[in-house]
Amino acid sequence: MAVVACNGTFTLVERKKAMNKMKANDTARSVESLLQTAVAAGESLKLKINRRRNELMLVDAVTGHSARLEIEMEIEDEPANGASSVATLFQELAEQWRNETAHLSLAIKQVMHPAYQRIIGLGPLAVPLILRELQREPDHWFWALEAITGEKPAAAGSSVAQATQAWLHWGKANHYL
Amino acid sequence: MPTNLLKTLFPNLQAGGYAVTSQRTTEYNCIAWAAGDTQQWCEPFDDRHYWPASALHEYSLVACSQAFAAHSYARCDDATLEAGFEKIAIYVDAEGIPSHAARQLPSGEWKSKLGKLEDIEHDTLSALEGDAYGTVALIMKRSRT
Repeated sequence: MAVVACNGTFTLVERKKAMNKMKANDTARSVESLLQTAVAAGESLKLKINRRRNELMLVDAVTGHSARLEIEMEIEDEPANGASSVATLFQELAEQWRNETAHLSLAIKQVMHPAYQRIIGLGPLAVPLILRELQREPDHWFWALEAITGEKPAAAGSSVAQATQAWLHWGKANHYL
Repeated sequence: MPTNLLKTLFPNLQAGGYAVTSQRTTEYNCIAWAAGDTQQWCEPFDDRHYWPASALHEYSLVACSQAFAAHSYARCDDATLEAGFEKIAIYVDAEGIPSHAARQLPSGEWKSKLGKLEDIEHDTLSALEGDAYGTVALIMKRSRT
């Protein structure tokens, strides 16, 4: 969970710089004053978020003085940083899987490889990554896609090329590609 | 696959001599290739892949021999080159599960599709024996006509 957007444009990060003294837990005017002071000085304030109480506090990082702040914020379950780390992990696992299973003659041994199983464990975030990998080079990604999405767009008995096309079509239709 | 990795996977390959003869592909596997099919991946996994209806749908040497029997192969005694016959060899891993299949060329040498990698020609069946593919467990043959 992370704040991804606020009603207003604030860049509030902790910096150890002396600020004008403010009274703690003051009114909205204190908030405004804090912001004005920070902006005028070209400085930033520390933003504290109490999720349990849905409360935001502006804090003078040096003096500890604070003021309540009410803003609307939008929270997403999966922040950009999370998606980025999943992409990195996926690439590592996919490379390991390719290297260690390329010589295997049976798909069942390929998909039972621990790296492949971990990719399935990444869940829906892995779907666009798998589809892009499939787009780059057809391979036995169909079990992972089916396991994650519950979908089965490729007809029984499809060749790898046919199943690849069916999944790429599905990915475009469902806005993954 | 880098040559050194091939040598790592198949340490006996170098001694016997081998040559890469195709591009890598995921379209077909060694079992399909040995049976003469380069259009499908042949495996009794589920309905995603081709597997002869007359063969058991299981990972066993019996099921694999039935799959080749569907392509007119019959068990035979050894891998010696016989005029007019084409032979295949089925490898099994330590658990007795089929792991690979190779097909004999008219010259007496063997040809294999290595998983999702390239086709190679290798002088002997023992060239691919080892940890990766196990050992040869069964030889089958059919008429070349």
